[in-house]
Amino acid sequence: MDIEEILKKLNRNKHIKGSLVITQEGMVVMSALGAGQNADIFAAFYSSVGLTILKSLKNLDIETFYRYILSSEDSNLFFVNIGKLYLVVITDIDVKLSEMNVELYQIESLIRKTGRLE
Amino acid sequence: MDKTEERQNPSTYLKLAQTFLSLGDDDLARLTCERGLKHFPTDASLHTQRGSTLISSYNKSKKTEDLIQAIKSFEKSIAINPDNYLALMLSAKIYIKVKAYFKARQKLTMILSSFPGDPKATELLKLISAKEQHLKLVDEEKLQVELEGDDDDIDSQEDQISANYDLLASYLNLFKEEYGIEMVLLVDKYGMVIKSINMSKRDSNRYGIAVSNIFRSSQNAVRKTSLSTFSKGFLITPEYNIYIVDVKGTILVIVTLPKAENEGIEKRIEHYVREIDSKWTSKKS
Repeated sequence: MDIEEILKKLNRNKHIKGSLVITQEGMVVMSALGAGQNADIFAAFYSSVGLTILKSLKNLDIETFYRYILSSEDSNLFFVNIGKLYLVVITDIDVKLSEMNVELYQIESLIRKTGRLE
Repeated sequence: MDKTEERQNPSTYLKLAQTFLSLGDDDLARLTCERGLKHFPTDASLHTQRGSTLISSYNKSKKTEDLIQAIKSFEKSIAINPDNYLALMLSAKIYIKVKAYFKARQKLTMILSSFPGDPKATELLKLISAKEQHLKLVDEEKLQVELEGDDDDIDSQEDQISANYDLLASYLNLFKEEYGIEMVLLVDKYGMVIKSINMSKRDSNRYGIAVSNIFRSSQNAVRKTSLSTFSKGFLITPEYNIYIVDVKGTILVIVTLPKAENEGIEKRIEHYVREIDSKWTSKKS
């Protein structure tokens, strides 16, 4: 299964508004976002969030992070650190965080198996 | 907390200085910062606060010496914490005011390296370019007014924050008994710790600065990607989990062990926000 198929599978969840995989530098690897959502803008801003997190954690003597969940009034955004890549998943506010976390562990594992991290 | 413990906390001095500043007593505010710096000479927040009080003094007295001293404080603060947004921005503005454009550019570039795309830094860099090329796109008088206006903004923000600290801090005990919590902080958006309950041996000031950087970056990303307004973040790391919650423009930080009960902590966060909301509303009305 390649990354495009993995994202399509993920987006079948009714709570998911869109997902994409980006590099740490902010390049889009694959995007399956909804209408009106610009993958390049997401990649630019969330890679910057990733960089800020890593830099800030370094000052706390923490080497890395596994994931970061951002919540706003009407959405959640799951930001998953998969080594050289980040998986970004936008959901509605009604999603059950625990269920989504389990699903994302499976998706993360599938992305690792594609070999895109090597 | 006894008096000895209070002296050992830089945020006590900060809070006191901000209170004096809000009462218009710049000298006492500066002296409080200096007293704090005797105990905590490497506390970046105290250096920044000293600089801010000197700007306030300058706005009243127009004594150049106040600006020189303010710059020295900001430079010390930046040397301790190169990501200190407030110190970088205020020093850049002073450098522009005294036409030291090279130095101002240096500070603004530092801001952009820590906070990519920061609109205010970008705008000031354009202004400097225009001035350096003698294009006279913005006249000096306008800039001065803008600078003074910004100082007023900072003063009024500090007044407001200072007045609300007690309310925000008074409910932090809600988290005290929850299993797995290592640290609870109330931090302003520039990373200054207003109040802390620290059960670990970690430095709460370092956590305050680090989390405020993540908070601002998250706020920016959420806004730019049209996902409404950032309200909460949950960061999972190998060592700790960190909750980052926007409470009336102030940041509630909860650092927990990985084995902590997330559900219980989230319920307490909701409780805390609800309590603050209700008291905030009744206070305003």
